[in-house]
Amino acid sequence: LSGGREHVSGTPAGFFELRSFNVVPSPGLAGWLAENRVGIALTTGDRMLLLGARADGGLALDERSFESAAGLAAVGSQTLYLATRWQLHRFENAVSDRELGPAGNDRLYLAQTAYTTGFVGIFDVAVDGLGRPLFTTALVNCVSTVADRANFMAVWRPPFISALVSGDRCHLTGLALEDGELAYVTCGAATDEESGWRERIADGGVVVDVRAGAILAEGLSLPHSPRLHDGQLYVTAGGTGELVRIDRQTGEYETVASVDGLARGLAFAGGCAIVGCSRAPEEGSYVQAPVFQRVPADEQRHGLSIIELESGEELHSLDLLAGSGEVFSIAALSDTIAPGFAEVPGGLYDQLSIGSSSPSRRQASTRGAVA
Amino acid sequence: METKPETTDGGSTEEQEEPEEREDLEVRVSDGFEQWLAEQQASLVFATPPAKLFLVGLDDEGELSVFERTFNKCMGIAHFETQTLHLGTRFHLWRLENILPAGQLTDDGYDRLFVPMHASTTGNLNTHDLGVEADGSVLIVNTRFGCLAAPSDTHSFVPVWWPPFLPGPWPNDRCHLNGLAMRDARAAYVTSVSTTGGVDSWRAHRRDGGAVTDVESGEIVGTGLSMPHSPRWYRDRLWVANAGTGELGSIDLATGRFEPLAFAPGFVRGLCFVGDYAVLGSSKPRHGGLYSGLALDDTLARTGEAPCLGLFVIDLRSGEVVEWLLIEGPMRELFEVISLPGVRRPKAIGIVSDEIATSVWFDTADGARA
Repeated sequence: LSGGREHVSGTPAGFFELRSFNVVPSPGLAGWLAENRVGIALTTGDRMLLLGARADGGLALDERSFESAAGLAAVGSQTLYLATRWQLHRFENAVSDRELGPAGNDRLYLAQTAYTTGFVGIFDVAVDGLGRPLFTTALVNCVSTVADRANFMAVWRPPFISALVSGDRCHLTGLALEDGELAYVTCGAATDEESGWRERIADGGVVVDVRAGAILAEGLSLPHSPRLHDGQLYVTAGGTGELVRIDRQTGEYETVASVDGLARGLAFAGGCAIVGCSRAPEEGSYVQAPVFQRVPADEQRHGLSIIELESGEELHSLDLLAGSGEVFSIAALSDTIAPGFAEVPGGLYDQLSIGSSSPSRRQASTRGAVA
Repeated sequence: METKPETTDGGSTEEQEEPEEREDLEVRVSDGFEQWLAEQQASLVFATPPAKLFLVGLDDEGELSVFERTFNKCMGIAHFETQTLHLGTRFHLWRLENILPAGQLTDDGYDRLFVPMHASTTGNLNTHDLGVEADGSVLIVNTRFGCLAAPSDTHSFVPVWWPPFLPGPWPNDRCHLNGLAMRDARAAYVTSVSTTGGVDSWRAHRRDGGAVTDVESGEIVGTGLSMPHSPRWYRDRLWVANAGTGELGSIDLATGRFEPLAFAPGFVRGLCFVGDYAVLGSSKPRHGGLYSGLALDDTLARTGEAPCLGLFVIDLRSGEVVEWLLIEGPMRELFEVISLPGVRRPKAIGIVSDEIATSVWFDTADGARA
């Protein structure tokens, strides 16, 4: 098993016990991941999980603790961004396809850089055409990037937000890029008053077309995770537990599939959508989401669904049985079989990745060195 | 006088493996220390591994202001134009930025507010000195690998130079490369405890095997030193803290000989210069092991002096210790001290308390700042 964990004997096949979760994959999940050569990164509660397939056909799973693990973005499968309570971490893969990690992982992520963003509501992250991470700063109602001498630099705010001030007015939680530029943003409601979105949980949500500077779609409940896939725009209508496809000209939308809980976190692979699903939280405005009236508490799910886009059918799933927390974000790691974290427990930060010297830049100071 | 450092750092973080009891912590200074600091128009920042970063200045009344923050095994410190602090810790290179606009004070009267804005994960390099190049980029003395290294966004580090007596950037701390002198914002000299290449071999050469190596030429320019640290280029001289003898001195580049200027009762390490003065760090050597068998031991035994933890201000004209700052508490080691010219009273946000999450400064694309 990836990450050096042992299969727990006496439990049903495919049932893994981790420190805080019981993880139940559907029987075909690992096979589907292997077939599509895709790994999945998922944040929930104070955890980040990495999912893939083992050589023996079982599910490869690794996990680490991060305080308030939230937005994720993968650049292929070499670079992975993770937003936590007050930092945006950049991980780099430290192994190649030809030299696997000690447990057989073909991707091992090593935390290399962390930007201090402060606690600003980074639900969603994406990397733009300049290689900069863009992220939602929901507590300041804008989209931002990293800055050298500040916690972040605000780069865009919705037309209905009058000023960049602290306080969640419109619940700006999702962003999608096209051609390396910010293209669509989701907000809980188009309001300019602090906590205004909390009054519009059922149907206040909007999708903003950034380049047009206008609202494209409205009437959604807590929309999250806008994504462009094959030229089409998808979002999760979180509060109704739906995966939605939006007409980019008219803003009209159709439901592709429903899940049994809050829908948030979206990625694509193999003709399928990977959708995150969460049970009702214990408190907060999300409790009022319509999906929690539609689905009884004992039928609500926490985990992810793999939904075939053409049919809207759930092909595979992963359920997180124990442990609290909602799914925040999902990233697909392309061309990956078994991703893991590079640092092994107990040897934290002992694994190093050493860059090669750049002779041009360092010529002067390397003179005299015996190579 | 005595001062209790001001801090809001409380419990421990995941990163902090050795939480430090700080109830007994006390900073004492000589009678003229504050006056001296006022005259020099500078403040000091120093690191006491395993856990503390201190920022020392003067308040509105001219009284000592000591601010303290927790960083796991903080050692090397360097600044860039007094606006940026670089700090080497157990696994990270931290960059702290002053977020105050020029001329502005915090509500409580500090003229620098450093915020940890960026952490580059180096992994365990046993990072010692840091240097800053002309463009603001950082050089790390990577003691574990015996090389100078640059931080990287994609790797733990990038080796950029290693001494000629090592065949390459090797792990296993062979010569205990520990100090870096910058000259005209370029790496100029390094100190090492030995010039040997065997795994951990430097320990056998602590009494007199220490050397200073010229980075540009690769030549060894100083020999016969005892655990030399903190080489610094100041006023056309190459200064070194010869820790194993407790001496501050300079290297005669013609002969390679060490010329002592002053003695301080302690394992001297950490060095900066302010006007006509050197500020020299001093640690309490542990008994046995690494610190035993050094000339410092003999000298302290002969004079009956107890080793001190703190800073000694040495007049470069006379070699006399003129002022001091001493720390009473559980810690034993001081690694580095830097001066911030023109800064009167610095403070910093730490990474332990929730202030790092809840205090936010941002820029906008049109240049505004909030």
